[in-house]
Amino acid sequence: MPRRSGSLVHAAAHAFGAACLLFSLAASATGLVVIAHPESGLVNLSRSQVIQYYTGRAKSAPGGEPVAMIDVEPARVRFYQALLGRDVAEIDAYWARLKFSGQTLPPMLVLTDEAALERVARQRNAIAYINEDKVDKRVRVVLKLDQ
Amino acid sequence: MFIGQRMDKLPVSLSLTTRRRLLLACGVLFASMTAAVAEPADEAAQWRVSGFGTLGLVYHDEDNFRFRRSIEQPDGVKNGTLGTGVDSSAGLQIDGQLNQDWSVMAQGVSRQRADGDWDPSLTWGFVKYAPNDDFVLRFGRLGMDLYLDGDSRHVGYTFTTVRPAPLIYGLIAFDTYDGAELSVRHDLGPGQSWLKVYGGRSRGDSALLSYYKLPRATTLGTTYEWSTHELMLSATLAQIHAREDDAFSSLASSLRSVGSTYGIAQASERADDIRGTSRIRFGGVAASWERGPYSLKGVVAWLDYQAFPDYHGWMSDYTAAYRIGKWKPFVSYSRSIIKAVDRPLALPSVAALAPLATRYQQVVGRLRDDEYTFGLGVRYELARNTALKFQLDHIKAKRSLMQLDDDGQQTRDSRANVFTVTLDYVF
Repeated sequence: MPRRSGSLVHAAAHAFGAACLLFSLAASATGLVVIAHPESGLVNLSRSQVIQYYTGRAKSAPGGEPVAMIDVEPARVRFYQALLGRDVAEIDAYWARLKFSGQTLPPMLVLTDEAALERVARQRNAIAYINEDKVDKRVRVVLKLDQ
Repeated sequence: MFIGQRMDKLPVSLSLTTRRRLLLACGVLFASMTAAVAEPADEAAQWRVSGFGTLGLVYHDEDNFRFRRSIEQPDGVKNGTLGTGVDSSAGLQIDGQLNQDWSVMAQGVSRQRADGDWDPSLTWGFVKYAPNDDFVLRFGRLGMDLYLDGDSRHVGYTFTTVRPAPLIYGLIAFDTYDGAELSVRHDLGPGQSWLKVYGGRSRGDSALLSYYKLPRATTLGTTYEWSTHELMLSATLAQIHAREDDAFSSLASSLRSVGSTYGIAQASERADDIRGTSRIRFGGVAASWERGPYSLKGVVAWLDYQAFPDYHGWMSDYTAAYRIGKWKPFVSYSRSIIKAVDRPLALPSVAALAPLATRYQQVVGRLRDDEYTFGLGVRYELARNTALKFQLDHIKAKRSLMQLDDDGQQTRDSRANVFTVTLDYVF
């Protein structure tokens, strides 16, 4: 009996672990969205517009206002894979070439979704990308990316 | 005579200077990694400090062959030694955003220079005015935008191979200038087109036959580029014109003197051929395509060098790569042919004229080239912003202006396998 109860405990622990793993996978698999300040004037952005911004090929909104792009560390890999189909190492090398030839600087980097939210909520011309389930009323979703 | 120290040798021990530089490069690498981890990056920065560097090792075992990557390097890696000076470099950059339209940037790079020194040089230092996305004006110290990697050829992390193709980018010795550059953008079809026009006072030096500092000269060029986020096509046209270039005035005097002393009309004619000016014209087309794990690049360039005895040539380079996770294997092929205009000189077999005959042949042949390089390698992403690369180059040259023999002269009928390891980083 003691052995049996021990097995049950182990089984329960495994089940709990598996559930946690599934939960975390589900959480990390949440779709990415591009967010902007509600008063930025940006309502919807097309995928190609976001590509233009996040490859340094455009820096201004359609109205001429500058746009400040923000990279978000936890989602960078998924974001560039979803947006451009490219490994983030390729993007880093690409930005290094632009930066060290004096063309343009890469997006500002923040380390958490919350930091990205705070930044966009505070800076009217900023855009960032975060997990969809982290969005709150401080920001507006301007593009939802397919995974 | 080559001016400068031979710093590429690393048989057993390193010179104190080289050790200091390697320690400095390692220190910068460590500091950059630490800074990347500790970056409080959620505050807007008006000023940003960043940098880059490469720690490189080159090895080959070919006798009477010294490998170098550029005609800016006074000496190459000898057989059986580990060369640290060919690819190693370190750079520091500061960017400042003054307001919405104006910004400034300065960049200094320490690398092996044509005079053998490693003192940092200012590679970029400009003020930029960009009132909108379609118009950019920069003025100050600038670099020429050539082909695909010309404006970032010192930043190893930015390209896939260990170094940009030496047969193309290694010929670029005078690619900085003090002047202005105007860029205008226009949307064209699914992509963007950029027309760039630039000009100013040329800067640079080289180590072809000996140390050569470019005299007062003017750079003028234009680049047209059309690109989407996957495809880029570009065309370049540029010239560097020195109205007073006395690099071979002593040779002209000697030829003129011999011509009158020995009654050799041909020597006097050759003396007259040596002009007091020089003009380098070059251009090319380039394409790159990147989609998913695939990367393809190609450059075809030509050169017209109007300096005695006048040279014409073309160069090309092709690279294909495929990314598999952190690994990116690649293959490359480069070809170069540069011919000199035939200007024969027959001197009598007199011992007193032998040095002049030798010197004449060296000058006439200094840019002649007929070689190819086949490369095979892999890039590995060691950490964020840090790449480790391995590359094997097979070089076969009937005549090479890039590679030297043990006497410091251009090699002939040589072939070598050159192995390179580099650690590239940016921060």
